Amino acid sequence: MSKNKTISPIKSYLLPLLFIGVLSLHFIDDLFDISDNSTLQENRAMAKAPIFSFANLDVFPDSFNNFYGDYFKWRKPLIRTNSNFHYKLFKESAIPKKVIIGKNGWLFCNEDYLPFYLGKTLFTDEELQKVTTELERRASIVEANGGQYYLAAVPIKHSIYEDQLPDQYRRIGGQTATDQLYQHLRENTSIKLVDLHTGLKKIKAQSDVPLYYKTDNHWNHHGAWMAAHFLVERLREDFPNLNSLHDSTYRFSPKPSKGKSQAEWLMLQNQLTDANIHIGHTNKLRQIDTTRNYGSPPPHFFYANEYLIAKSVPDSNAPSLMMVRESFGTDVITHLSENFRSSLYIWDEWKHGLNQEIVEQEKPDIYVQFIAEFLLPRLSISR
Amino acid sequence: MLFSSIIFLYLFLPLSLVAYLLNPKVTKNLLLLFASLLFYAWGNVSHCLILLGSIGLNYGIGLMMHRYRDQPWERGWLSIGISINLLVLIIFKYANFFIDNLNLLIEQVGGTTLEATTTKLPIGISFFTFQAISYLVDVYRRNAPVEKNSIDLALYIALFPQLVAGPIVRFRDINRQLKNRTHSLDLFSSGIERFLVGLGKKVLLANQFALVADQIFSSPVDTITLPIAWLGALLFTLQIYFDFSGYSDMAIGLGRMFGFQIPENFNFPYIAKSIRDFWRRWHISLSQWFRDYLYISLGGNRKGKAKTIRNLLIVFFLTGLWHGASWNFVIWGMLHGLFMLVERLGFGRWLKKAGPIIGHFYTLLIVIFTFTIFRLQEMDYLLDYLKTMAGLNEKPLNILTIGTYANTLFYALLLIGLLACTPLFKVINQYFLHQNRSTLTQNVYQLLISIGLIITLIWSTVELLMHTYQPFIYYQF
Repeated sequence: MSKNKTISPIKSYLLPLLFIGVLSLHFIDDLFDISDNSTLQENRAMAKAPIFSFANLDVFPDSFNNFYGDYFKWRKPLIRTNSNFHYKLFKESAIPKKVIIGKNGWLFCNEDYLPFYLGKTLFTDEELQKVTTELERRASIVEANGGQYYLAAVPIKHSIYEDQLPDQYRRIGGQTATDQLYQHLRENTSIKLVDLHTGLKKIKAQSDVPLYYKTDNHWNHHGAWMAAHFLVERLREDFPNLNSLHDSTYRFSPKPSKGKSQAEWLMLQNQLTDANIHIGHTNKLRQIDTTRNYGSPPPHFFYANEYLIAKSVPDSNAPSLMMVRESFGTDVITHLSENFRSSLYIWDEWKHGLNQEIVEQEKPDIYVQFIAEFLLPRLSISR
Repeated sequence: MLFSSIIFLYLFLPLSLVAYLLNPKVTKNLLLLFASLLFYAWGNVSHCLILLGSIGLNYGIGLMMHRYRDQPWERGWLSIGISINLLVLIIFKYANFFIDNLNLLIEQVGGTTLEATTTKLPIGISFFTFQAISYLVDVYRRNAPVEKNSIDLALYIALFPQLVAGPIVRFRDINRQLKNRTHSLDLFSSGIERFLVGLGKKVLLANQFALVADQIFSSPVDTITLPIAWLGALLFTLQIYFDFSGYSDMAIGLGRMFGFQIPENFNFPYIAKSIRDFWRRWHISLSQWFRDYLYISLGGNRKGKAKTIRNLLIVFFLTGLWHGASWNFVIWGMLHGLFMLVERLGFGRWLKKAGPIIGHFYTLLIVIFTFTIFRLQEMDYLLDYLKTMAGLNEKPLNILTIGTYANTLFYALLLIGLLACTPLFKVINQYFLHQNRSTLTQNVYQLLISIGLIITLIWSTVELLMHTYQPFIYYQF
């Protein structure tokens, strides 16, 4: 301490008081459960209370750390406050690794999605060849069972609403892995492709009704209907007896809603609002639920009740459909099922395998690999 | 366990402080030792045995040296103690390094390569081993008395504030405090202040710089422009300083809370005007350790120019190697040794004449450049990256965007970080606490500082919690 420096007595008393006060306040809150104890919308299983065992001492500290962190009393209020702070002061996301805030309240996933859109995850030549070989294998198996194989890469929100991305994330030129794969398949194979990007971009340019949720990763009912429409139109090129989807049979009515999953991550669902597009069917739906006995859903698959959905339309001469999909496929099911005599939708835990055993039993006229475009690399795996 | 973790801040530290304050003087050291061992075991329970082994070994060796005081066997026991300490360090930290390099030679002659070990590196082994060696040598050199109290020696080696990341405390600097130390509100308060400053440096500065630096360094070199390459290098230079000095600040602060005065470890290294000056300011406890226990033991600069050069190069070779079992650390150390030599051989005099600005610029250039080598372990990537920094690579077609983490707050923190590398905040502190300032000014200033430090605690807590906040699109078990 230099000769000239004097320590004000305030700090000697105040700082320890405040420091101990904060730590004690947390302890008291924890003990008497005073503040809000509800969990955050993380879509994950929270850490369980660890069991102390002398036989397994080394794992106890990490388990306890995770448990303590997950149930820290001030976790939710502090994370919420932080999120509000980042949004109100900087209009930025507090978890940019997970979600970024675009223009006009549009939210976009980061992680796998943004690099994909920016063209950072292109296929190498070897990967391209692996995917091609696998798709040709699948197509030949479907054809051997009397059907036609189609690849439909589902656009992520970034691909359609790129104008709502922050300016520093706009892709100037270049291609994505979807462009790369489609170009390669067109030039080198006879794999049947479904282009959903062009049609959805056109509708987006023509209509004010959004195709995707602003604050969720997925397309809304309007987007799903349009995707189903463009899919059916492509299939009709080879199956003219398929009926088009008629928008006169549906009524779309947007209704404002609180922000959805991505806004919930940021705890800004009241500030970053969205819209639900309700669908009214003008005609009675003809499809009925049917069952299949094609095994059980994968173990620990949270969406097990959507593993296998089977529909049929009585007295229909339309082709049959088998679709391997994931969550983007959920909202197209009702629209597609009206147009096929039988339709089977498999959600195989994002593996996007062929599900050959089911193909051999089902023998669909049409097989659609309905895959979110950032998952295209999974097609290189033979399964 | 890390100081910058929720469990340390809100569970371990409060419970330790309460238990320490409630314990009578006679049992305080025992309580602290228990807390320190628990702290260490929390990182890896099995490795606690290695720490206990080190304590037992050095306690025994110390006693044997004392028993054979002034006899030839005193030196013998010292040699045994140093050898075993170093052997343990070498086995746990460098075995795979030696095996990998030996395998390279074996492959050349077509022999059968050796299998790498699966042993994990005990946290802090480099620090507590060097502390233990300093104890033995200080006892031998009569710089410190032998410690016959096993609890006190154990506490010296295992004291949790400085156990896992330093500073390397010499026994002679702390042995009296182990027996008798003063506790006061002033010291406790200054400990909290220092701890929170360190916490802010680590969590709010170092961790944030690391996010962007890691993003840059994990990108293909052909997406990195020259400015981004330099930004990455600068950010890592800042990251490593705030990380390390932040941790030292926390260690010093924690020491004060428990009545210990731990020596300083950093003194604004990035205002150094030469590499020699840099090493008087950077990781002071390590450079002093190498000076006192290796450089001087080898003869220092007292045995002619050739031996001085040899001794310097040995010291810096080992300094590099101490930081990690990889050639990039050795290269980093050797480059610093080389520049030290060049300055000693005349360039230093020229630098002094050239003025402080040239000196600062030269030093920062060397430091940033060598820290890039320190960071990037993959040689091919490192060489390509350095080429980009030198402007020798073509402009990339697909440019990396760093916008995800380099947001508004980041740039504000970067500005604060750059200023915090200088003594500016220290000067401001001295200005407001000068005896010529009115009591009101001082009090208002101290009030604001206290509130600012508590905000640092809460903001750091938020950042640590955000690290645990990982929402998923789909449910994860």
